[in-house]
Amino acid sequence: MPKYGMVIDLQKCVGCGACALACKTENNTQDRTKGQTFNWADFIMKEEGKFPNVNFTPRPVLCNHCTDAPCVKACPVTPKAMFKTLDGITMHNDERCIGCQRCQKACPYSTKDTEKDRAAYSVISFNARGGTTHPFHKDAKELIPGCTSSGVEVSKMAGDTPPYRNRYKHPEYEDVRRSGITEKCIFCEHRVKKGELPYCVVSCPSGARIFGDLSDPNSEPSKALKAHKAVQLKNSKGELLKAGEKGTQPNVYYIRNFKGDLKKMA
Amino acid sequence: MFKDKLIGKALASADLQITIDRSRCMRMRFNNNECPVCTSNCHSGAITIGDDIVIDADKCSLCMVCVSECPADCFDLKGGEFFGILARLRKMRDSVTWPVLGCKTDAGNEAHEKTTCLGALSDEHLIALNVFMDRPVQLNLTACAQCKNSFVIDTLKDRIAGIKETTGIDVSEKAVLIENKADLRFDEVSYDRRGFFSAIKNLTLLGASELFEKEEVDVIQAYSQKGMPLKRSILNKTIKTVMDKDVAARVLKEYAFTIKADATCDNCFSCVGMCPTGALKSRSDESGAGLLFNPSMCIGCALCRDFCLNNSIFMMQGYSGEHYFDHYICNKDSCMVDTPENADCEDAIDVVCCHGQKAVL
Repeated sequence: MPKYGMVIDLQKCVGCGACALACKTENNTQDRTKGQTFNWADFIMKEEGKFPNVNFTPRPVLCNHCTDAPCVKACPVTPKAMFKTLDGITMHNDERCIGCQRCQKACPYSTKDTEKDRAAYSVISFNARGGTTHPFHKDAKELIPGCTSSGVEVSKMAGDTPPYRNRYKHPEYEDVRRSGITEKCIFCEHRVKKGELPYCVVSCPSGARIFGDLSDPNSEPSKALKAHKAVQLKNSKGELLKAGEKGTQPNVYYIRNFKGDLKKMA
Repeated sequence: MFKDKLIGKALASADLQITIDRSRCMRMRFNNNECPVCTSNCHSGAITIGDDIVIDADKCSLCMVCVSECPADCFDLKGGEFFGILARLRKMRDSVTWPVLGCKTDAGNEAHEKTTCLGALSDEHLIALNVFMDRPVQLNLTACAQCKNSFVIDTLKDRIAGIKETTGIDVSEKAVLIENKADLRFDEVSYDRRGFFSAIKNLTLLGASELFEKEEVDVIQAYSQKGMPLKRSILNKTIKTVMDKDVAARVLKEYAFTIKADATCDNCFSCVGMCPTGALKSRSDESGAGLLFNPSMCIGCALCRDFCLNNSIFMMQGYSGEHYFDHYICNKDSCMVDTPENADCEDAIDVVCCHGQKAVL
């Protein structure tokens, strides 16, 4: 059985945001609202130092698909709505989710409200109860009255809500999630099972994202991990796991921190 | 014997099967819950609960006790049509002096209407029957002695005695258990001229009989969708439309629950997701966040209380306030009621905070 994971090469990443856009169109995630990001692919932007010795590090972040996933342990329903697939993907079942948000609370990379908690990002987002998902595309109000088109109009012309809707069928999750449940990155399982790569990986113009089977020593990510020293994220504030620290055994690794090399150059 | 076997087979056929909605089950919603109601009440040991709820169709005797006992309405009988039957009994009051309700198990037994098994009559059904019927309904149990579901007689007796003990309502006035053939008073339906017109009049006038009709609802599959147990809706309609105030107060003391959250509640609203019926709701707007509770929808499953990480929620049996049908804020000291007409109310719940007095189900 494969154990899927991702290695992100920080020296190749320029923070262009293509992965985040690709994810939004692939998975039809809605806009950021009320402390919920709905960004399955997101960034931690870090600016350090004083001019002229400044440092800017964009760190792409996504669900770490932890081996020891606390979100799975926290899920109260039977069978679990949040569970590990045999491929090591942390999967979410939309039908069984009761929307208790316990997974959000348990996940070290998620918060219930990114604004209140001043978190850089949140892996798990919650579609508010009773509301409509994609409110922008269901709103008939024009941004500039008589000038721009409204969200509803665009959706109508495109023939779908949201207008960029990518329809796919998956037994566990819907292409557009309904209100009252949580959602998160599922490593584009609908693509992976067809032999394709996650869409964020495909869309990266510099090839910074390396996806594959970590249990196979000859896979691309395994080779990258052998060649470079790797670090893993510890929480949603951007702290890293120290050497020897296991954390929740995240399966997303970062190699070649740009900052370290700059120091050497100086 | 041969006849029993034949009928048993017919009953177990595809159109008469108990259907399960596992999204309602308390044990499926919360893995720490150990609700034993269906498994311990099942006389044939047909129900097993593991990763799913399974009814062994070969063992199941269709006694309907799981359907009537489950507090969360997990079970239903496909093709049962039970509630239409009661409505028709009510409507035939001018053509029949002594209405009889029987079961389908014994093909020969005398009854105006037949249901799969009278074990389906829950406390709530019996109370509603008592309030709504203007004359006694004879429950034909004459065939029970020979049936494998003979325990249903005792089940019904226990329920009737229980209702009388806790609420003082004597259900046996309207639901008369007939065990011996000699006691049964059965007339064939006679439609004379007068009876015919009365029947039509009754059809149009008696909105109350709709009480027993099953409401058309989408089949609930998703765990996040909320659903009210049918028997609870029946009880609520009974309370709302006909029941005497004093009687209603006694019924609410026994069948309703009060939930209150104390100051440790941090408005995380996990309980709102956990609640199977929608009794708990969240409110976050300009006036602040609050946890809303509606007593008429609470089935007393206590999942919210057990699931709360802060142990903020307290539940006690009985409801004695004025806002049985409203969603009101239950996690603030002075109670705010969520409906505009009740906005002035200072104390929607007049119960003492029930710290430590956790109701035992």
